[in-house]
Amino acid sequence: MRKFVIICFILFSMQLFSHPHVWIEYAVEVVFSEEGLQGLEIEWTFDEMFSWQIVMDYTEDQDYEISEEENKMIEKEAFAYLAEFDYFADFYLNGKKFEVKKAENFHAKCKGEFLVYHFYIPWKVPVKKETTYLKISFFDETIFCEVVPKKDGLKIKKAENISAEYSMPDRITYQLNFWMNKE
Amino acid sequence: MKTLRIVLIVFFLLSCVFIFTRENPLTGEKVSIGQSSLLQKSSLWHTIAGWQKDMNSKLNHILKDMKQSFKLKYFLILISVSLLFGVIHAIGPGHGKMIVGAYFLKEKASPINALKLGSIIAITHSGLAILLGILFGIIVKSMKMHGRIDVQNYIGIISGAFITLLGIFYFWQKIKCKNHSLPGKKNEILLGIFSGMIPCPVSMTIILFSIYLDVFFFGFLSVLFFSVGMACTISLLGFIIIKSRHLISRISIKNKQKAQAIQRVFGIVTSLLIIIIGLNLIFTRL
Repeated sequence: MRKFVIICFILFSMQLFSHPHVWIEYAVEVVFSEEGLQGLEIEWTFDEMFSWQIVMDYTEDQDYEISEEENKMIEKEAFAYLAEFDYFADFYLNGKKFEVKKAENFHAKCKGEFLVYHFYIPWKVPVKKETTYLKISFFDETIFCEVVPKKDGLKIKKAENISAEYSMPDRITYQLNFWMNKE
Repeated sequence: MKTLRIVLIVFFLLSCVFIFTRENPLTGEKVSIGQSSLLQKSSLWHTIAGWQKDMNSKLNHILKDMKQSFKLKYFLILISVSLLFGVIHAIGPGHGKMIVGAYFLKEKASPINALKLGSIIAITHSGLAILLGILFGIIVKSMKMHGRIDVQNYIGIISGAFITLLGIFYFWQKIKCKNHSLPGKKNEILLGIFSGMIPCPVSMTIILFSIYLDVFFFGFLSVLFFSVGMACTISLLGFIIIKSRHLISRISIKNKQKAQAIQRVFGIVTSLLIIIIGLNLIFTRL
């Protein structure tokens, strides 16, 4: 009986295995100025099937060329909603969650048969002498999308007075530390 | 052997899970299902999601190849990838597995019943995907992703309403201690149809893509084999639950009165569970 209770508990309380219907690979460029962190340039590359659906729905000739007008429609109808999902962002500053309020400079383009979204997330953090710790990752809590980093998916656009280093504590998270250089 | 059996049972029971969303986050409303980042950080998750991505991509390419020319090699790849994709995809949350689990915990059944229920879910599922694919790909071509998602949501609400009603009916039966008001076969058909009614975006996309490429027949075959794969997983889960239930009955057979009381409580709890699943399907879509 005990075994069965355990099985039932597991059965009714857990979820396991992914169920994605859309796959996204992300790349991030961390942008610094002399004052500190300014924001993140994000690039999402979608799988072929989802890319095809967007191309079919929003481009006139279905030719994988996205015009300015079409870009606006994609932003309005297939990107703006993501604000409700915090753009799948899971960001932390010194262990405290950073709420993503907005994304800027959205533009969509196709690389071959893959749809790519570009956008910028402003995140201003002044640089200090002591180390500042950031955690950057994306995930969709509804499991509809599988969001994973590209290989070597993090770049740092550094300012001269700032040092930064990063590592990957798990397969979807970047841990980035930065501090002011000693004069 | 015994350990292997327990591992298998736990493995498949684990895959029979709650999921509180069916919305596309790229177009729909936000519905939280709670914290899943831990799972997504795991390498097992990554591996299984990665396989699905590869198979999704393979189907995309093979359908394009089929458009160029028909080769037996392409055909065999298409059906085998579709089959395997269906098996793996159905391991994930959703696809009626929770209902199958609850139903077979409630009802005394044989492995044949599991096979039947799994097949009914898969047939309904692929049939509906094909109908919707034809609707969106030929009849109302101008409908964009938003519209397609809305239609799928309405079907989900109808499915949820039927499942809730069925759950209420089971609950009433158990409360009144009536065990055989509906024949088992009819129960399975109804439950199978209502659970299978929820369209899967993967099947829909395959059909739409094949219509676009003008290779509808191969898209149809792909969805058919995808559904057969799903039926295998769902039926296997049902089979394991039936066996587990049988095991429990054997353990508790020593005390007949106690066993009967346990069975009745099980029946009531699982009927309530079916009601909850149905209501959840409705309210996550409203």
